[in-house]
Amino acid sequence: MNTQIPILVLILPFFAAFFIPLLSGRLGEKVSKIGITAQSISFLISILTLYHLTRHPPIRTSLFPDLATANPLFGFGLYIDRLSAVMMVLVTGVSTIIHVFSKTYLHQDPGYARFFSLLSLITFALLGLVTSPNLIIFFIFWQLISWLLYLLLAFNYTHHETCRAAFKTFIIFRLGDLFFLAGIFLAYHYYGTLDFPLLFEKASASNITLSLFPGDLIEINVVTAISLLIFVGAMSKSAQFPLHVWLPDTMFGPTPVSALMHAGIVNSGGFLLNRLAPLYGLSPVSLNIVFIFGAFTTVLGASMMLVQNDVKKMLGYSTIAQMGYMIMECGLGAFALAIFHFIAHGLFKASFFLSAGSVIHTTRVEPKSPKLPKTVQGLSGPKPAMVFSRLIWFTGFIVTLILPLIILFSAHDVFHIPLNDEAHGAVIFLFFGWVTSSQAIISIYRMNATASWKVIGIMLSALALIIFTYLFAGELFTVFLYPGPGESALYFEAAALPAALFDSLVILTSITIISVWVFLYAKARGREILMPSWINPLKERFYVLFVNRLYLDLFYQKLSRNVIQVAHKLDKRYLSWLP
Amino acid sequence: METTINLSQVLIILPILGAILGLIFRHKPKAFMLYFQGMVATELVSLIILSDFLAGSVTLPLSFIVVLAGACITLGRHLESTSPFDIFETFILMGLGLGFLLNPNNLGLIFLIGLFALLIVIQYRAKGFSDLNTRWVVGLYGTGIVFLSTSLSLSGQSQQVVLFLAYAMLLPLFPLHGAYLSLLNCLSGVLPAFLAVFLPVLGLHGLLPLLSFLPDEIKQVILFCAMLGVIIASLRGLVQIRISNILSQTALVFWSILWWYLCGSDIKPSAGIIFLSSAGFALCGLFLSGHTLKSRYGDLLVDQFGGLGSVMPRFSVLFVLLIMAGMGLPLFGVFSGFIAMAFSPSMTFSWSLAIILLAWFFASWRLPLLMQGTLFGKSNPNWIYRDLDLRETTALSFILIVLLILGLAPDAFFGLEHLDEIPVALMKAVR
Repeated sequence: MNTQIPILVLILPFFAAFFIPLLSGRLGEKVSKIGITAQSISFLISILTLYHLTRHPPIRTSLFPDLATANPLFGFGLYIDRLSAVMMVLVTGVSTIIHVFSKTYLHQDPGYARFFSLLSLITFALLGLVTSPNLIIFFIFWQLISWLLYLLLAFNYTHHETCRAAFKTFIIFRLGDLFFLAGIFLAYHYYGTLDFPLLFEKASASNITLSLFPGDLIEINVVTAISLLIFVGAMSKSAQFPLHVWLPDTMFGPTPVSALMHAGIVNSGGFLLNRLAPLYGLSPVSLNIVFIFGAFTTVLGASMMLVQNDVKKMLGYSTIAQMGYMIMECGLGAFALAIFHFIAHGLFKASFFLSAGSVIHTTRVEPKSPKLPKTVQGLSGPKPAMVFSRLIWFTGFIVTLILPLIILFSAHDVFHIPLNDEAHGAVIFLFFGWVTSSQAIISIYRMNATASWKVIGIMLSALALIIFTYLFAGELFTVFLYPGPGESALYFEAAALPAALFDSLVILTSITIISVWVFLYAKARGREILMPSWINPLKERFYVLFVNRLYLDLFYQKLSRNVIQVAHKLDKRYLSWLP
Repeated sequence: METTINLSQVLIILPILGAILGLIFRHKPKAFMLYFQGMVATELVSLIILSDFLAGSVTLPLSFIVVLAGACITLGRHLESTSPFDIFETFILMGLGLGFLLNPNNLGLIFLIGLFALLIVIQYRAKGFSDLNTRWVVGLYGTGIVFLSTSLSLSGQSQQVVLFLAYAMLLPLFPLHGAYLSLLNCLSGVLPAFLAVFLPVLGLHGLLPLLSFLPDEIKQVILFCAMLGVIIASLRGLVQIRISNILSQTALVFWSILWWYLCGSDIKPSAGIIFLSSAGFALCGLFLSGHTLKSRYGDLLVDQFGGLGSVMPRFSVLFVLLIMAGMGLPLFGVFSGFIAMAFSPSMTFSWSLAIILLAWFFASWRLPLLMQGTLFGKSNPNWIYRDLDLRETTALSFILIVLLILGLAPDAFFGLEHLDEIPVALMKAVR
């Protein structure tokens, strides 16, 4: 395959974005076909590129070599390795589906051509991001995505709330950009290059420390400083606590935009960490901080999701939790697993959002929809007895608790997992597999609490499938994305948590899962669980806290109001004499 | 050198003489505009022809910026401008400015004195002396005239000091920014769009040779003033309710950032010029957009516009792109210029860079709000809306193309790649 061909993957959506508004007057709604065709061809070429890269080294193409000579900072070009190629397939695939969906969804909308043009343009920006050869070009596309998403979210710009939410999204992205740029600045200042391979090489060859305050009171490793600053940028795009507040408010945007956002744009933070994995691999401190933020976001996102009463908002909070999960994986050095995770999440979340639109529509036009489950339908009458099966409960309970033992034994080298030599990596994979399968099995139990071998079969299959996916497919994917000898093991080693902390984490998670099973048991048997008296008020407090989104929105509002007040005082009281 | 100077006088005489002759058509708006468009085209062609003589010095790119800005505002001027003589005044100012740029001797300073005097007259005619803004202009530019006149008889360090102060009024440095901002806030027609870029160009041209003689202590004071300007303008910009006021505060932020760069050691003139031209053209485009709205709907508050997105699609697209450029988003020149300055080898991570980054963040707060206020929301059914005509569209598109070129190929523009080969200290010889 000619190495210039992948350029078409970017060029086609870019030209589609220009031709759509130009030809909209003549073609009417048929202009959508331009976008669909461009995305489809890009998708096919992306698949070809991915296939090509399974056998060949990464593709490096310089687009305007003269410009790069004049100013090395602006080295426009493409760098396509396996990671980029996988992302190209995901972006173009999801974008094609969304284009096809939008064709009907936006039928007769006055902004039809504008929407398709912006959609093609943001696809181009996403593709530019994943194929960037250096940090500055990455940052250029990173910013373009922020702006284009703002315009897409504000698609219905006559609606005040829509504009407010779009602006909020943009401003939080810019806050992240601020730190990202500072990180880039530091990287360039200390290493003199922003080209990925060179930057990693220079960073690993030097060990520079930076004094935060005069007198060398607090010193920080430059790699740590750079990676943490850039991580703030990733936090804003990937909706990590405390920069997650933009995501739940974006539900006023058109459904296809939500789908694209949840399937593609929020993943850009995770992609950034992956792209800079060799840099993060040099800083265990940064990886640990990344892990903490990811874990915190997962718990908060999932908790806030539970108290929502709006389908799209639930999905939004679920995305926050999933992004936290993904960032947590990066923080544990399982970078490839994070990519695997967000591909899977991207696909299912895009399908959820695209279906959510029609579900909401059906509910609006059909008064009896959605049909309630039988147990809920009879709420007005006498409360039916809860169905309970000891066999199913016991199976679920045991199955979800076998894994933590294996994890703990493997972590302490009592067992050796014969998958590969990276035992610690396998433990991490097992850990995530366990948490995911526990969640799935509890959900299956709640949906089907009847004594049936079928349910047991489903539970075991879910366990087997998830563990297989995490251990085998995850491992294979890691080897595929990071084929360098010992490369992925290096990240796992750098991210390794202290043994005591890791054990505590597994034990804490086990206790949480046991508690859920006990709670389910007691609830199904109609028994009261003896709780200390302070638990119920605490639960209520947490409920209020999560319903109010931890009051973070209010905090930001107050902060911005204070800034405006200071500006007002400055303008009207102290400096009114100045023009 | 002598031939170059003599030939370049054509570039000075042409706009001044052209402006005076143009008054013949003052009662025929269409002919008046056509005449000035022809004039600016002639000026541009003359500059291109003479560019070989001026190559290798900062004068060429700066002259190009002035003439291109003049061309853009001449094209973009609304036929029934709120100020009938704005274009005439623009041409006279352009002539005087080019006189300063192209004359590396005392004659240049005399042109500058004339320019200050004319600006005072223009402001006085527009607002009268009772207005606070006029007092700022008269006070500062009056002092500027005194400084420049004194400098004619001085030499050495004392001359450099008075010249520096006069130039700091042109490339506005807090607290000497008052006159510049007053002009941008108060003047009507296309003059603010022109002055936004024109005056800083003259300021930078005067300052470049002086910078290498400034002691580090003075540079620290200048840096402090610039940072104060950045903070105050960034904050004040958030609470302005008129387009011109928001943009004038944005202008002060831009030029304070340029001052921040100029205070560094081992600066590259090309990076400064890229930022100057990009920020200048972005401001020029935004002020021109403001003029377009003002001439159609009157001098309204930002929120009183609303909903232009659906009724003025052509204007909306161009305005969105200009806002993008103005807040330093890629692929436009402001971003490239800023990156070129911030990533120059002499720049270190310091408190001033943190302030600059904050200003960058505030621009992303201020300018999208301006955009939302004008374009988003519902349009007023009682208004008669009119989108941009071909001329206005061409002018704004041209500005965007220039900004795009500056963004994508910053060093290739104006032949700037050769400029850094001349050390700043040697530029003294050019003046």
